[in-house]
Amino acid sequence: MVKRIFYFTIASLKMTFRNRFALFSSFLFPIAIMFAFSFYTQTSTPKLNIQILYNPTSKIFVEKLKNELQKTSNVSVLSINKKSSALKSLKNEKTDLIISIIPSKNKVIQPVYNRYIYQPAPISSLKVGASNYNVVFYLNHYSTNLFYEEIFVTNIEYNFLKNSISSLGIKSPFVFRQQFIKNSQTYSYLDFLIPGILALSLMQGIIFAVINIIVNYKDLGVLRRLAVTPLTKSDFLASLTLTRLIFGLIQVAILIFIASVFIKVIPQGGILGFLNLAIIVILGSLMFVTLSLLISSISNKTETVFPIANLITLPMLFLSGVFFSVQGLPVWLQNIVQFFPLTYLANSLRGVYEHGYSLFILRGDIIGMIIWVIILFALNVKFFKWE
Amino acid sequence: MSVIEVKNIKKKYGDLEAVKGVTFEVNKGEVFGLLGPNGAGKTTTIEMLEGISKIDSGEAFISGIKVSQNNHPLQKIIGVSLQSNNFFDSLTLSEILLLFSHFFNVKIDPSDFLKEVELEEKRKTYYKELSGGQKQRFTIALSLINDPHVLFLDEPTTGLDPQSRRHIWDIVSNLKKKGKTIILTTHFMDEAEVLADKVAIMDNGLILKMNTPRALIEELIKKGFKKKVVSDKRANLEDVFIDLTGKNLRD
Repeated sequence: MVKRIFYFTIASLKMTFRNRFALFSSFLFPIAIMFAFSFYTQTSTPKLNIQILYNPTSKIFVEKLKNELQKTSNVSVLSINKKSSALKSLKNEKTDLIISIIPSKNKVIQPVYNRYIYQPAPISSLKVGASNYNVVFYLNHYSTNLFYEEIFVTNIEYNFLKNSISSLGIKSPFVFRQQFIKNSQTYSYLDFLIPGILALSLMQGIIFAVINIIVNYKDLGVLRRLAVTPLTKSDFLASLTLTRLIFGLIQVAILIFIASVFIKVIPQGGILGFLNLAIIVILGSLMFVTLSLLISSISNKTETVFPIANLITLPMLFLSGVFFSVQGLPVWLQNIVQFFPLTYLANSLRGVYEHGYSLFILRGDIIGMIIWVIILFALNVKFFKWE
Repeated sequence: MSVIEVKNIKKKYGDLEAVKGVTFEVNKGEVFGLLGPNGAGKTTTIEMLEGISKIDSGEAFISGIKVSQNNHPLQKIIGVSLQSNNFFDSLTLSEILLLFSHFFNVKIDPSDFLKEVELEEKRKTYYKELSGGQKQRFTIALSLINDPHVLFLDEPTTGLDPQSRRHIWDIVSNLKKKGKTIILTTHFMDEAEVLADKVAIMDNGLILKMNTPRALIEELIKKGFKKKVVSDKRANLEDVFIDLTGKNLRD
C-alpha cells in the first residue's frame, strides 16, 4: 500500500510540474500580484487625511498630539471641534480617518456601523489629569485608502499612546506587547498582503487542481481503469492529498523566497516560524483538498462543477482578508466571514509571517481549520462518489 | 478446462435490465467473442466480470476466483482494455507502464512491452500525443503488465483504420498462441470470424446463440438461408484495400 501511494504520488507530482497552466496559476500569477502591489505601494504611497475631533477640555492635548502625528510622512492632520463636519468630510472621502478624543463622562460608547462609517468600540481610554477620555476611530469603508486604514490605525494607535506618554508626561494605563511595538515600525501593506496571497494561491491551486483531476479522471474513465488495478480508493485519495501537500509546501516556499529576496517582506519567527508556516500550510491544504473532493462529488460535469467551485471560492477571495482587512467589513458580515476556511488560513499565515506568533497564540484559527477538516472529511465519507 | 465460468449473471440500472441472465464458459487459451448491437449488454457483462460493476445476481468465477468488486486476487490475474481508454496525459508511455507495474508489484522493462505492440520508439512520448491506433495498442500492452491469465478486450478496433485493425488482430492471435484466454467484444463480424474460437451473440441483455463461428454459419445455411448477393469468399473489399495500401501501420 505504502509503495503504491509513494509511486503514484511521484507520478502525480511529475504530472503537476508538467502542467503549464497549473504552474502559471500556482507561481507566476501570485508572483505577478506581489510585484504589482509592491510597485504600486512604492510609487504611490497614499496620503492619509486625518481629523482629530476635540472639545474644549481636550483641545490642548489634541493640538500636541496633532503636532506629533504630523511628523509622520504622508499624513495630513487637522484638528476640528464639529463632529457633523468631520463626519461629512469622512463621507465625502475628503477625510480617511477621524480620531475623536472627548471626555467620557462615564458614558459607554457602543460600536456603530452604517453605510459609510465604521465606528468600533473605543480602542483606548485615556486619563489626563482628573478627566477620562474615550478615544474612538471613525473609518470610511469606501475610502480609496481602504487598504491602508488598518495599518495606519495600528500605527496611530501605537504613536498616539507613545506620544501621550512621552510628550504629555502621563502615566500609561496600557500594557504593550513587545511584538506589536517592534513590528509596527516597519508595517506596510505588503506585510499584510503577502501572507494573504500565500493563502489565496494555496486555496486556488488546490481547489482547481483537485477538481480538475477528479472530474477529468471520472469523465475520461481513468478512475474506471484504476479500479481494475490493485490501487485502492484510499491509495488514490491518500496519494492525491499527499501530492497537494508536497506541492503546496513547495509553492509556499518559493513564494516566500521571492517575497523575502525581491520584495523584502521577510517572515518573522526564525526557524520556528518556518516550521509553524509549514504546519499551517499542511493543515490548510488538508482543508482545501477535502473541500475540493466534496465539490467534485456534487457533479461529474466540468460545466457544472467549476461554476460551483467559483461560487465557493469567490466570496472567500474578496471577504476573507486576503487583499484588505476583514475589519473593514460590516460587523454582521465579519461575524460570518470569520468562519470561512480561507479566513482561518490567511489569519494564521499572517500571524506567523508578519508577527512571528506561536501556534498557541493562533489556536483559534488552527482549531477552526481542524474543525473544517473533520466536518469536510465526514461529509466526504458520506458523499464522495468514485464514478 | 474452463477458466471462466459465468452463471446466470444479471445487472439492473434503475428500471433498465441491462443484463437479464447470462451464462457461458470459456476454456483456457480460447478467444471468446461477445457480439451484439449497441446497448446489447456486452460491456455491462464484461465490466461485471472485470469487477468494475457489481453483479446483482448470479455468479462468475475466473481461474476459480469468485468475481466481485475491488477483488485484489482477481485483479492480479486479469488484464483489462476498456472501451474508452484514457490514461494520464502528461506521463510518457514508459512512465505509465512503470507506474502500473508498481501497482501490481511486478518488475518490468517497459521496452519489452512496447516492442510487443511496435511502440518502442514512442516510449518517451506522452500518452496524449499518440494516435487512436497507437493508444489502442498501448492499452493492450498495459493490460499485459501483470502477465494475466485472462484478457478482456472491449471493442479494441473500433474507430481504427484497416492497417491498425489488422495489426490488433495479429497481436490478439499472438496472445492466443501464448495461451492467454481472451474475451473480446466487437461490432465487426469479420473480426470475430477471424479471431474467435467461440462467439456469443447478445441482444437486449440476453445471449441469443453461442457456438463456434463456423457452426453458427452452418446452422443458418441449414435453415435455408441464401445470400442475396453471393460474394467471392476468397477475398473481401478490405483485403483489396490492404493489398493496395499495404500492411504497414500509418501512425
